[in-house]
Amino acid sequence: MTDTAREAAKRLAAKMRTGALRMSEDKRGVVVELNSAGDLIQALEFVKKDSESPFDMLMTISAVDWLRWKEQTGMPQPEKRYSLTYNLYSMSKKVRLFVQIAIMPADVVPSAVSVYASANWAEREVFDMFGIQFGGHPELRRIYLPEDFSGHPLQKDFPLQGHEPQDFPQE
Amino acid sequence: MSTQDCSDKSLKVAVASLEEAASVAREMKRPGALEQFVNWSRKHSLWPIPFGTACCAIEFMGMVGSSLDLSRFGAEFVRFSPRQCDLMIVAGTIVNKMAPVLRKIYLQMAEPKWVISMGACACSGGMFNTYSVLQGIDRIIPVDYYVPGCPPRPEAVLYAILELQKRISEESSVLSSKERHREAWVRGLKARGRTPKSIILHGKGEDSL
Repeated sequence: MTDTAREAAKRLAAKMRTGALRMSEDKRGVVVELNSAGDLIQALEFVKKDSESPFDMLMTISAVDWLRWKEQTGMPQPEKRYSLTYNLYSMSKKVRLFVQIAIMPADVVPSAVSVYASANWAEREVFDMFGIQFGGHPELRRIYLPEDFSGHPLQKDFPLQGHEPQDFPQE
Repeated sequence: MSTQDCSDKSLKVAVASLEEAASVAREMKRPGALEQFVNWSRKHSLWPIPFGTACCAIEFMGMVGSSLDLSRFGAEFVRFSPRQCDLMIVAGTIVNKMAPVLRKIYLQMAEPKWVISMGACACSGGMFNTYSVLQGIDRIIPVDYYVPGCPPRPEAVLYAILELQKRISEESSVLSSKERHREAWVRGLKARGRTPKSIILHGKGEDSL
């Protein structure tokens, strides 16, 4: 299983410019870390049309806020505040591949909607919870929280309490 | 209501027997006899509407199921139409997005009406003291009984219904709807050690009930 994903990642590395990505493996499987968010769309297009194992399904996009990571865990602090993981799945080979990018709060991530239509709602969720901007998204607005909600609750500096609305929306 | 208003035959019979019973109560010439009769009818014919949004709703099913059998106490029909119900049982976590829906359904219920807040989430937000969860349904609707627990045993909710029946039999059945709401609300708040002023009404100020 891991072999299939590893081979696909190697084919991806051969197609991309040198130094564009870094491959690693952990218990989740094969992770491809892109050094620049600008390469994301190209990389996703390549793996989607991979000759052996086309990763034709975007399962989900997950985001992590690494704020105060070192203070709280003692582990090394990542350089950039957020990381995004694109969880890809190959329907024919039944394997997963994780494409990862790291971004700063002000960065605008290119939207993957042009490659995977399912990225539409996934990116809206990431925007809703983390406030990460996706450039070129057709309709980047909140998906879970009320439209008039202020802030993005999964950011680590979001206050845990005291966010009950003073006034509820009219029915 | 007179018998002429009713087209349905069985309803005619029911109304006729009610009128007869009421006239009997009147003839007894006991002060408050009619009121007692009305309250007695109400408390033994509660129609619950479950507002089940979480695991408490499963315990609610246990309560109306055959082993505990809520229908023993006259609350036999669980209806999902607020127009046909007079007892709302809020069972589960209410998120802020759901709050206007809950309030709308409450307002759709016909008078007289009562509310039981079932479980920690409905009473106070429970363990979900977060950005998305309403910290107690008494912020938006009046509550008659709070049932603690996570989730409460079905017996606990049965107990609340029995207590509510006692309260109904002591109520003044001629109270206007607004007075009834106000009274229920203040009573619920006092039970939680709050003052009415700390309540946020539904965007229309304190008189919107």
